Amino acid sequence: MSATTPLPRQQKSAAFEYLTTRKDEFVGWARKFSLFPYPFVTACCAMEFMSVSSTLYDTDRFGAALPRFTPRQSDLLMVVGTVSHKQTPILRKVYEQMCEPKWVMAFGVCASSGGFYQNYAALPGIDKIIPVDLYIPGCPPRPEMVIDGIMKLQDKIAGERHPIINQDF
Amino acid sequence: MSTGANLLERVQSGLGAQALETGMAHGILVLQIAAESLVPVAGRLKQEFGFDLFLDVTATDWPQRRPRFDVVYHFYSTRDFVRVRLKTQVEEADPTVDTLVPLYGSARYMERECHEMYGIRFRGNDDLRPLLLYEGFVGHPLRKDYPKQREQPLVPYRREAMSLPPLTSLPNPIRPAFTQGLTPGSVIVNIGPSHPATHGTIQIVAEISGERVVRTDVHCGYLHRGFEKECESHTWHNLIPYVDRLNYCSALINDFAYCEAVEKLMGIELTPRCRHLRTLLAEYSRIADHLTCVAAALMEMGAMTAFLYMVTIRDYVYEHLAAATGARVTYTHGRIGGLGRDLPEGWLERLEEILAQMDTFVGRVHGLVDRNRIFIDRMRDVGVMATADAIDWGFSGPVLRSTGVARDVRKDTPYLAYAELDFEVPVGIKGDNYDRYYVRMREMDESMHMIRQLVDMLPDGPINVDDRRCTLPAKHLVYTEIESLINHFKLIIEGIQVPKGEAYSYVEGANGELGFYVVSAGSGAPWKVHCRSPSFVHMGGLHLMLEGYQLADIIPTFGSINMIGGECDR
Ligand code: SF4
Repeated sequence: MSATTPLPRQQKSAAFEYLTTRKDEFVGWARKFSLFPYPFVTACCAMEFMSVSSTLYDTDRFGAALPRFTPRQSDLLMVVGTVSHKQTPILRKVYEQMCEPKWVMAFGVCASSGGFYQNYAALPGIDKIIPVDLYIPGCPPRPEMVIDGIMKLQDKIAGERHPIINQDF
Repeated sequence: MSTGANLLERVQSGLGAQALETGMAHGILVLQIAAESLVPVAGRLKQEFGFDLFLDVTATDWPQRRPRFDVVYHFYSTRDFVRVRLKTQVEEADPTVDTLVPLYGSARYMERECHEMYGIRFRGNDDLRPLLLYEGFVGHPLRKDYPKQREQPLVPYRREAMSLPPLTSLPNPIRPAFTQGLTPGSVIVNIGPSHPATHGTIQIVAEISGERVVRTDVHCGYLHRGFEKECESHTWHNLIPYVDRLNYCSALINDFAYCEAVEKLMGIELTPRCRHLRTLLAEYSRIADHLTCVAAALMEMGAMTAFLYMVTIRDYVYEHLAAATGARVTYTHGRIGGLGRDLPEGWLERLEEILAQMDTFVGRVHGLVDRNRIFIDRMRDVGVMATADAIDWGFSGPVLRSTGVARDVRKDTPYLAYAELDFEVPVGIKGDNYDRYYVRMREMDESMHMIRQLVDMLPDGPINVDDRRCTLPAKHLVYTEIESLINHFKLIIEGIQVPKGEAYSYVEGANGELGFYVVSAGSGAPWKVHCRSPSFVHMGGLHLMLEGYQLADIIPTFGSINMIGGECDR
């Protein structure tokens, strides 16, 4: 809009020209709809993971659909299924490879606590080796439960502090 | 007399002299032999009597007995459809038997498993690296003196909520068979286990020369969850949820196979309605399994539309099964002597609707990929397996049938209600990826055909046998009669009492012959439950389908086998 010929008041566009918000809220809002999950899929829960990401349930609606099959490009680690001790070094390595900010979802009771595998082979919950933001119960959880979980995680992200440049910004 | 029974008699008279004891148990010929005569007997079984498929080797631990271990082998004749079990005893001080690797390729993987789980040494098998367990694991977890909960973590645990122990060096759980290339120009690459195309649980170390795969070393075990150990600490009924989670794509088939093994031991005859319902549900599960396999394999090649079609229809199946059983994926629907519950009202009508939709959806997938140039290029003549190799490596199910032989347990030794059904066994031409895809697609059609027949012939009547040893009394009787109350209490708390003995049940799982070898010491919990899982056996021979092809071919080839982690690693 040229400065010399201002529009008459009544012709001004109805769109927002600016709005005020808090920085954290703004960044959180942007981040919560651009989750790129990395599916660390091992076991039976994968069946429900397939369901939840395809037509009938469709996690696309939450901006959390496109799985990135490299941890370096993803920010949500979905641990889907039982993690055995043999698998732990791999899980830890995958977690370390992800860039900040990153969130971890334990999908199913096995990932949450080992579920009903309380024996020499299974890890009793992935939170024994990496921090977890969200636990989804169920063996396997129903797709609705997963969607609920994703929404809870989005709420959490929206309410978080988001240091972008440094702790002060 | 059938040729099979005839053969068993010939074996019994021919090998009787080399055996310490012979006998028939639930249709299987059992030969108790001395450890020294194992290789000669197995050799004669294969060469003279035609037992060409090596099914399984496992061990049973009897800590109070001398000698402590039984080593148990199962063989199958793909010509006469009968099975033989060899048993030999070994001492704890020197648990050594000779290897069968020179006779059967499939012995290699299975002996590795038996070695790490029980500490049985196989003289002559040069590759006894850990397979389901990891490097550095001390002890043999399936021995009775290994405490179930003794963990040996590889990564240090976190202490407080938000701390992360510093990352020093992570141990490598496996030891690859080779670290040096054969030729100067070759490169060694690692694929998996956390790779979308290896389903999270398989690791393939491959040596490549250019794009061509020279040799591979396939590692499984990333989903080993101690299935057999868990079974030993649960009652016969309580372990059914674990059985479900072996092949989670078709959990019902697992359920019924396990129940059948226990029913054999107890001498239970199912009711007609239960037999037919089990058959129906098993076929329904098989469809879900094949849908999953084909969908995943197609998606890995980029055919996302086909994936969405198939998963959509699979979801209808899941919801429908949930209406009958209460769960979408893991049903726990089998009961020893029956089923969890009868079909709900209106279930069969909805079934017909779903089958009709399935026809449409599966037809669309046929239209999308069957004659698609990209698909054919990646599938035809890739991952070819010859029949002789497939049998030598113990293959069964769709993978074996794709090589052109019509071996199907449902046809060869009918169980449940299969003898009454009219169905074909689809076979492939040359055992490549395309054949495996097509055999699965055709099997779905056959399963639908079987389900329609079963719906028509489904008899009325009870679904559980009337047998106080295993069936719970009706709830109103539990509240009103003391006998029923005690009966209920005993069945729940002590578990059903299964007579001493051992049985091997075999069914056609979605991936091949699924067997359960159960041993009872006469109490409410099993002494041993061993699962002969087709996926595990297929992983043992996977390298044959990968070597000589391109690196990128690993993905469709692996996808066409339908490795299911839960069943493979148990
Ligand atoms: S939570 Fe249940 S369904 Fe999920 S991986 Fe564990 S056992 Fe399987």
